[in-house]
Amino acid sequence: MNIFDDQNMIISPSEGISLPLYKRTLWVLCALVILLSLSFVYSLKLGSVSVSWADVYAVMGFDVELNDATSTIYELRLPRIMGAIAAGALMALSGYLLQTAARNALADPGVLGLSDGAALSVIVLYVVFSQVSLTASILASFFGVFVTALLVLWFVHKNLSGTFIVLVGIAVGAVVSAFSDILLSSVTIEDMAFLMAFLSGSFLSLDLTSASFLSIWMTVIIAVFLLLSRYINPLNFGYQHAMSLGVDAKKYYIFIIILAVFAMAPVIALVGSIGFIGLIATFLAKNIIGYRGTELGIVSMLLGAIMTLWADTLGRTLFAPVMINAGVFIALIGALFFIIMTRYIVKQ
Amino acid sequence: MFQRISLPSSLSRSLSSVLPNYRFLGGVFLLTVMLLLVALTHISIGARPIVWADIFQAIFAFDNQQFVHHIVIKQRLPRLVVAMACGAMLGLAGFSAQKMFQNPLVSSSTLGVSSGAVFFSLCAIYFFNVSENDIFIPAFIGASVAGVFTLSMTEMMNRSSISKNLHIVLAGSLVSMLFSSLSSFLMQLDPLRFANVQDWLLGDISPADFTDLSRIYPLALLAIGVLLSQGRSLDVMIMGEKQARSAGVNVTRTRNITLLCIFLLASLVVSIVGPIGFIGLVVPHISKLFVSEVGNKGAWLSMLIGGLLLSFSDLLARIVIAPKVLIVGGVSASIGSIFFLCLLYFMVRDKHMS
Repeated sequence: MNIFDDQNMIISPSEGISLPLYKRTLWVLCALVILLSLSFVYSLKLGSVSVSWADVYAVMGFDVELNDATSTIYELRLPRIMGAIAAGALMALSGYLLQTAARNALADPGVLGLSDGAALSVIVLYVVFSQVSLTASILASFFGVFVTALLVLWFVHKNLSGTFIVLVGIAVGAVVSAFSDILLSSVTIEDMAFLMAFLSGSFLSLDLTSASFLSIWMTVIIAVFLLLSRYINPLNFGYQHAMSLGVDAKKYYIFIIILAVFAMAPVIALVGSIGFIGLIATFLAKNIIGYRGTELGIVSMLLGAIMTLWADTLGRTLFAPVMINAGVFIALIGALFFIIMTRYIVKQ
Repeated sequence: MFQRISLPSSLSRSLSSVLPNYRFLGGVFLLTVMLLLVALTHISIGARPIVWADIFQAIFAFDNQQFVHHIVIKQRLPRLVVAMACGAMLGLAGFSAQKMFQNPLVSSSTLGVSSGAVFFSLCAIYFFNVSENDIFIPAFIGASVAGVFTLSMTEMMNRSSISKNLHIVLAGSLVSMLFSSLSSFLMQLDPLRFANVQDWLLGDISPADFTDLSRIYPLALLAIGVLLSQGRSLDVMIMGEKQARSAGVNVTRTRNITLLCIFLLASLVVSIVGPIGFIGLVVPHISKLFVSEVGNKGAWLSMLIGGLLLSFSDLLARIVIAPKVLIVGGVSASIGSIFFLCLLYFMVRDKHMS
């Protein structure tokens, strides 16, 4: 398909938003939205407590009389599922933005060690003051991501080759997780179990408040992303080209890194250290719709949401009564993906 | 510094043929003194402080009635000896690996060997109920599988690109990432069963004692001996494969034997104390301060430094938050990974490698 074929262009929603849609993209978007909605409904039904479709329907319509089945769905499953969708979308967007900033298909919060950094600062907070409010842990997560991001940026700013970025990210991640290990070995057994779950990323402890918070946060971040998209897209061509297209590249590089950090930090604070979603989702999205700026971001978000939702759902149903943390699933898939992607790493 | 002493040239020539390298001897002396100091401090510090005189008495004139002597011999000495032995094995493995690959970032942990050993051990525990005493066999299989995986991945990457030095480390990190995510997946399947290996997974010396060492020492000595005997061939291989071949070295055989011994040492360490990372990475760099990597002096010195480093990490783990004991794997990994990061940075900055 010729991507410069104007016949394929369908809509451009408004002046300020750079979102020219192509037919193929539109089909993919529709398919993914339908897939996401179906997964959402189906995962409400799946689980170790069996519920009927009628109960699911009742919860969907918010027509809730709390009997056993509906309260299972409403209190246990709905927050997890909402949280997984929002977290997946945010992490995928964060990965996409970092990849745009680094102009490297391997940049991702998990790969660059940002997730580990955020998790470490939240853990420190837990260990120091055993009781931590939601706001405090989100702030701590922001702090951790920023510090780690600065560290990684400082290390890689002179050499942006793929191999080096990935190695620095892995090394920073190793430093951070060594400190996490030290902290883990110094707390009591009960704290340790909780922190282990946190470190591997689990949607188990999400309640409705934090899940709604994540969803609202996701909406805000998407809005900001769409508003900034006309400045973000030229950056995909590199600094010089972006400058020649009239974008103040330096300023917007900083903007998108900050946006990426804002997208991921609350997720880590609430869910724990999950990574690799951005890596996998953006890679898949590129293969489905090609290199297309904003649409790529949106499609990656949808893919990330679907992936995380299924990672969580499979994790709680596949080996029931044992629960596998979503983060563990994702890390496993991510590592496999990474190995398959080495070809691309080396070429960059 | 030691070599700069100016002597009349004829005298200096005749002396240098008689006397060994000052720098090497100085290094050995310095490190031995440090090792002794660390060892004595390691034994004397603890819940019950023990004066040095008591330590010597316990070792040289053991008195069954004295409680202190029992603490020294039965509790603190085993831990120290295990730390030193494992450190020495990791140090030698790292030295040989860096010498063979001519790459300052390689070690048994950065090759992914340790995490492969861990995953296979966990599988053996989970699927075949292997007791913790026999864990060495699956660990060795895992180490070899992971190592071969890393090397073949490196080969594949090298084919498609010119810059090669970082590839082996990248491949190793990815393999290690894969195996550790597999391990955590496996552990989630049955958390209760793996509750008692939690510390071992991070690298913990405290449960190990002389019985563990007595189980592994024949193989460990064998591996160390073989590695030392390969020293000369490895020296020739530094010049490059072709030159080594024309000098009559069987490159493939030397490489395979060395790799096998590295895997063996790494898996032995994993089987008794768990995956203690980064010691093997740091040690060769310290040993290069005292002696060049050509010849077997570096190998001996690496064992000494490895023992020193791991017992020092263990000392730190025991005193940092005093009544509680940290896990030594975490301490050594945090020192070593910072070192790794700096090494990576300077390597790329100075040589503009990618």
